[in-house]
Amino acid sequence: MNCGRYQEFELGDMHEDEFNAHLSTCALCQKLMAQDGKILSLAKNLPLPPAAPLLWAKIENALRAGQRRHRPIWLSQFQEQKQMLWRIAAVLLLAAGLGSYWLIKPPPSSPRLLEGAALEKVESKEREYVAAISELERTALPEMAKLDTDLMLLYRDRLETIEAQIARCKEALAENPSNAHIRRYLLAALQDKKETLRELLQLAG
Amino acid sequence: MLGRQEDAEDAVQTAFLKLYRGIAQFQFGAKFSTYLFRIMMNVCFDALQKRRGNQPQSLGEIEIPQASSVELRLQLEEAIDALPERMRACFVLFAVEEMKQEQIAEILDLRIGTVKAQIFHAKARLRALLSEETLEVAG
Repeated sequence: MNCGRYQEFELGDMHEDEFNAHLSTCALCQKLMAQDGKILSLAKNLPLPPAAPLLWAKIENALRAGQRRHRPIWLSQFQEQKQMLWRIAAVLLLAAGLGSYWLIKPPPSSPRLLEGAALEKVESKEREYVAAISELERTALPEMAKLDTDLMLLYRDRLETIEAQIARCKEALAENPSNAHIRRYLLAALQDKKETLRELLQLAG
Repeated sequence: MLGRQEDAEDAVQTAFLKLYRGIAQFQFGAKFSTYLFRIMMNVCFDALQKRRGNQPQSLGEIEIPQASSVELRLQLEEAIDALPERMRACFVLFAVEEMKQEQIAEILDLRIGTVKAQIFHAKARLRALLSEETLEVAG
């Protein structure tokens, strides 16, 4: 008994309706189909292999090992000595920061300290101011009484403030005569006092 | 597919490693299960290729005694193991994993006609291995 229809149908060479019509008349195809059905049923119900509880752990380990293998050497070393490298990086950062500060910051001596001719020049200017102020004080202060009370009090307060400023500058200069900043403040204060006295004299006159 | 639990575990492990390393190649339009099965099947074929020579198996060497019930399943497993690799892959994916033939074709990179033929011949071989009497018991 030989029939190739079942094979034709299985390989897609025969339409299902056509095969079903044939099947009802062919004992061999019926038998083959029934046997295949049993095989498929048996295969479908094959017991699953026992679960492997450590399989996933093994896979994870293998993945980690693979990652380590594929990681560049420098990265592996970095991971191993991360703590130490962070410390070194922190020290280097600190050193770089301090180094930059010392490189960027202006030299302490030159602009802030006046030396030699410059100091003499400034002191000469101060003396000029002091002389001018003394002259103005002699003429202006007696005239202050001519101002109305509020204005007089205002100018007196202002002069006292300027004199306190001058006194503080002189105290600081006694300790550090070459300090350019204090000299500048002192000159500014002297100029302010000179201008104030001149203003006062004009108002009174 | 590999017939041995330890080999299957090794294959799963290898497949996951391959999946992990090659995930960038996965095209997200494709079905992930197909992609995973394709990797899995390739790993199985590689493993079988390595094994070949050490443990030659052919249909002629498999003896299927008359058996009933539970033993029949073991016989079927042995008979499936004895199928040629590509044929076994088609049959296992179709009969055990219950995949559609189109998906099997995609996984194994075969034409649909080839998959149909492989499944048909696998069933024919299994029919021949498992005698009519044996199959009667199964029924």
